Amino acid sequence: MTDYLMHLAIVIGIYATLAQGLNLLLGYTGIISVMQASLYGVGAYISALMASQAGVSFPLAFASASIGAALTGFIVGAAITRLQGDYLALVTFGLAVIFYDVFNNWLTVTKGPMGIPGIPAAFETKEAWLVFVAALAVAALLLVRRIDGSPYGRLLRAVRDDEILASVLGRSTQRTKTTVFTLSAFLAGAAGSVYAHYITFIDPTSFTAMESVSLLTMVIIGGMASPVGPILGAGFVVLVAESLRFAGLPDATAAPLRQVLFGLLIIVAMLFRPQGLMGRYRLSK
Amino acid sequence: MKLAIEQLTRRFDGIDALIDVSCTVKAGEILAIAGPNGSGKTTLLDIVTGLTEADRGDIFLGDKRLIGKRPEHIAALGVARSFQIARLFHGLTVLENLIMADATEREGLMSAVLRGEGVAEKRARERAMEHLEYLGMAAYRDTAAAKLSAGQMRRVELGRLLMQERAQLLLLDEPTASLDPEMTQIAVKVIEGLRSKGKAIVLVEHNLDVVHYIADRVMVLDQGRKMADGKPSEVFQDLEIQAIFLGGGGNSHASHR
Repeated sequence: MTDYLMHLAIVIGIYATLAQGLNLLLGYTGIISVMQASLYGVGAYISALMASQAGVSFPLAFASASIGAALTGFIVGAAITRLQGDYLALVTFGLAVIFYDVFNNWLTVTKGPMGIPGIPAAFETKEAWLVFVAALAVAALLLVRRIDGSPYGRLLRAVRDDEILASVLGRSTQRTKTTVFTLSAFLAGAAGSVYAHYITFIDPTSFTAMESVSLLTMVIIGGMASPVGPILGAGFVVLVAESLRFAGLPDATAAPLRQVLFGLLIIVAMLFRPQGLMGRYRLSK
Repeated sequence: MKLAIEQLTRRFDGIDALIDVSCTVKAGEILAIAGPNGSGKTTLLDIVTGLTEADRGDIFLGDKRLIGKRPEHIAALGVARSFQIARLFHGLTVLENLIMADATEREGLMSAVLRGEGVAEKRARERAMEHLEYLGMAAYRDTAAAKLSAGQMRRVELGRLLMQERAQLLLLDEPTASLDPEMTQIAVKVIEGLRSKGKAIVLVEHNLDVVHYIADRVMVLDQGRKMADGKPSEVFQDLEIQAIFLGGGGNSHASHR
């Protein structure tokens, strides 16, 4: 039982780190991205391939995954952040589909739907994993808190409120959005690496647009533009999803039901508490 | 620094918003732009700030060409702007809105992560508070801009202009709209103060009393065409110009292009 609870805490920690990156995008900058799970996937695959095929140690694989995902985020961000609002969201959806197709069809590298098994675990005990993941989630929290109170955080919130006004006041909104996209991808890559080495198996089903919707649910439920929000949101969503396990439903029913539940949670939040549990902002008026 | 607008032309869906409009504004001068709704006043400001592209024509600030540049680059050359409907960052506090008008150097991601609040940030906060006190808004420093009344938003916009010390050209779109008479006087004082600092000022204004009082020159636009350019006392003597305002609903605060 203790093992199971520790496992849940580790999963929550991984998602909290991942959601923290999305919080910077959605909560602080107002960018709706449905490709956060794709960047998480980029980190997971980089780390898995480096460790299982090149025999690279976890610290190096972890660093490479974070930087590789950040680089991917930078390239994608620079290309798409001139778009705004709904258009940007749609493009991220298109990219999520493309990334999934690459994970699924680049057989020589990703092994496609068969996935990559036997990824070396970074730690032997659940306790060690819990300490590491907790430290990572706290580091992400402190980073976002630091940004929150800084002129850079203020700039993100300004871009979120009114891009035209920000540009008239001399800010390059595209550059701002690209930097935050990069940082957000960095956190996604770090979380992806940890996921790969914790579960020791990855396949494309963990990195779909629907997975990104789960992440959006975490940020919205937890509260946008709140450093603590993603942790609460991750905890809430993971525990709600986990509770379905005990409902005695077959897997084929439980998985889609989970997505329905996340959809309902977003609708309920939008209707009754659009700022989420801890947030300062509503998604839009 | 002198603003020179040369033969600016812009059409929207077959409608002429501006036709061959030229004008200049010197440092320390206020040019008012007057005209009925839809005469092209705001379009002119939008083109100067880079928010709208011109079909033809040119704009120079000093020896720097503004046409073809992005809004943030135009701002960096020293152009500041206020809007017809006061435009603020609604999720930011009043104080943060003013600080956003200050220099941008300390807003990098790295300085956010590595440095604490620097001297420049502290100084900007102090300056912002001085302006808020002058404008009677100090009590609202921590209030989100979304919660302000239209008149209060206008005051914050004035404060933002005061923060932009480096700006050489100010484009003010109806800065006295939504203000009560007492606050209108303060706004006029603020604008006069900015002129005395050598800023070139373009003022779109429906309140003709304000135009008469404050403007060095007035340019009248009607349906995108420049109809007059001269001292307010002379321009408004012209019967043809008077007819434009009587027929076009001048002196109102309704929306216009």
